[in-house]
Amino acid sequence: MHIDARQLNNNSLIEGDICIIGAGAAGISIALDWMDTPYKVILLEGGGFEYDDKVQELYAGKTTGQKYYPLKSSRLHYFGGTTGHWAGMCSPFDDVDFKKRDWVGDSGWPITKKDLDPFYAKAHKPLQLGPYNYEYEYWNKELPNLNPFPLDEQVVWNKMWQYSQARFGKLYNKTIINSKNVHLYTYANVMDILTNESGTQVNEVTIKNHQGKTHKVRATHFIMACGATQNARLLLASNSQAPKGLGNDHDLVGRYFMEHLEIASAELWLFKRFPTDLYRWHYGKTKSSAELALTEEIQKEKRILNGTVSLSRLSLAKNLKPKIETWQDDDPRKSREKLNESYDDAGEASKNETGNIRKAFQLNTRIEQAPNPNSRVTLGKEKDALGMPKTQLHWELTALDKRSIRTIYQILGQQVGIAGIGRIKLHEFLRDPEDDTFSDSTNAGWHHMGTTRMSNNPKEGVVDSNCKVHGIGNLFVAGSACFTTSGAPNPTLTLVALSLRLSQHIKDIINNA
Amino acid sequence: MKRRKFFLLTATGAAIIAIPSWYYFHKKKNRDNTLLSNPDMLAQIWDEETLLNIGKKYYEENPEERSEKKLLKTLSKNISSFKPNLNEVIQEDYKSGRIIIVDGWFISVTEACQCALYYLKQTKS
Repeated sequence: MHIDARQLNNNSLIEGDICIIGAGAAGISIALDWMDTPYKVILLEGGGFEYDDKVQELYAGKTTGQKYYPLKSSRLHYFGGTTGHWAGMCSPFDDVDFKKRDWVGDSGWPITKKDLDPFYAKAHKPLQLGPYNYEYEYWNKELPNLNPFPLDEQVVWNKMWQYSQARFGKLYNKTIINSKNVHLYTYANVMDILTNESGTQVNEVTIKNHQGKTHKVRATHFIMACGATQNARLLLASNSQAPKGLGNDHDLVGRYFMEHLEIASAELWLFKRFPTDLYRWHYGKTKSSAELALTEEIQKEKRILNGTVSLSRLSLAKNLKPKIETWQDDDPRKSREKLNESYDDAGEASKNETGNIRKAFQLNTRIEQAPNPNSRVTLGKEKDALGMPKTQLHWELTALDKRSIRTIYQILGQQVGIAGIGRIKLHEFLRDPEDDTFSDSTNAGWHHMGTTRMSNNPKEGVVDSNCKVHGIGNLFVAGSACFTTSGAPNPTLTLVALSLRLSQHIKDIINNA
Repeated sequence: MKRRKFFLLTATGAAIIAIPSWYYFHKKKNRDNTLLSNPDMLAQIWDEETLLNIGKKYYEENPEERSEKKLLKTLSKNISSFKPNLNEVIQEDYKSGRIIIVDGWFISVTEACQCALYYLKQTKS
């Protein structure tokens, strides 16, 4: 069922069993999981079914610290969320990502990869991925020409990816609209979360839209699924009863904002052509391919973060502008257009490249960001059109981030030399081991993570291992905001898996009651 | 008698030093020099300009090796009868971590010396 909240009478009261705030990958996956159950699910979306600049503007904010994308265009604000233009790259986190690592401060989830595995498998359905199998050996049997580089497997392994083309907005709008028990409300921006007097239970949320209408939603369980930045913003802005914001007794909401660093870092020059499709990715065609990754043992030995290395043709890549430079328009459609133009221009320029460069690749790092409490989302002084304080993001990187990237290529440079397949050239910004800074051309993956991190200790995390906000019995957070560490892979598969785990947990609560 | 003995001993001593040195700097040099100063493997991926540039940088950054003789010495000491193949020596460098960064390139010490020798040879000619 679909209801446009703009058409409701002002001050309407909406009631249900479960209230999901946000209809992106996390929110829709949970809603689909509750389809055809006897429970009334209220799914709230701030926008409509298409891009609406007035709604998108609600995401605008300011950034400080490391140069970042405009907040307005870094996520999409309509039904389906950022799956409306995502690249669809999916791979699960590794075992090591969940572990406490003594060389990575504030690492260690209260759950393991094994806890998440059944939900990773389940997440493959809404994401329309192949089987939940990320073993190289499996895909090597399934697909032709996946020859790996002859590198020492004790040091470097092939981390497999699958590619989704699921745009949740288009894919699931009819299913949700036709559902009897899922009630989708569009143009329903949550402005405030109101609790009982003791602050231990959420009673209702307030929604608003540009038509000036205000409504209330009451439910037994509330799930915030608006993305890491907006979840933190909403908790902080819900300060009418808790002055520091909800769930923020220990000043943790908004802290530990993490991104993926996606940086052109080195060049690989091969002695001769290496015929393989293993490291190639063609959007819409490739079912599975790999990135090079370092084993857990090597990460431990070198005391570095977890990252992967992807390959792109150097003849093309050397002509590409950094994404952080092309994606600077507030309008995500224009930024997207500029990004595409940049690829087209690079493609044209690459046609003039001849000689050995045809056997060369650019090596691109994709790496987790070390958890850092100073990297954080707070509330700005300005308010948006609906009266909510705007987002203020301070993105801050650390020396460990830089050292990890440099070390990855030192190891890879050695391994490529041992294998005798070519040589590696480090990009200039990584050559000085004393330099811990990152330039303004440092790309991020548009991946917001970690602002309501998971820990069973309320002094160390905002949510517990079931994604429940500490101290509030019926308020949950879905998605990448709960990540304790950010892993190397793009977050969507993991955030959907985590959301489905949360969904099952709420089902268990209801069944046990 | 004493003088005769002195000359004999001096001649023998000189021969002990000179013969291996002659072998080292003449015979072995003749055998390997061309090979040593030609970074064939690297030439598969880089043009001459890049090779020369790497050679120049290594040469400039390592003042203790600023002569053809010294570079040859560094190269030759790694080549033994057990590892007559230069490519094997280079691979051994990578295995044992004898790697340096020159102009951003991760290359083995042997390769760096090769490039420096190549640079010297080219600038001389």
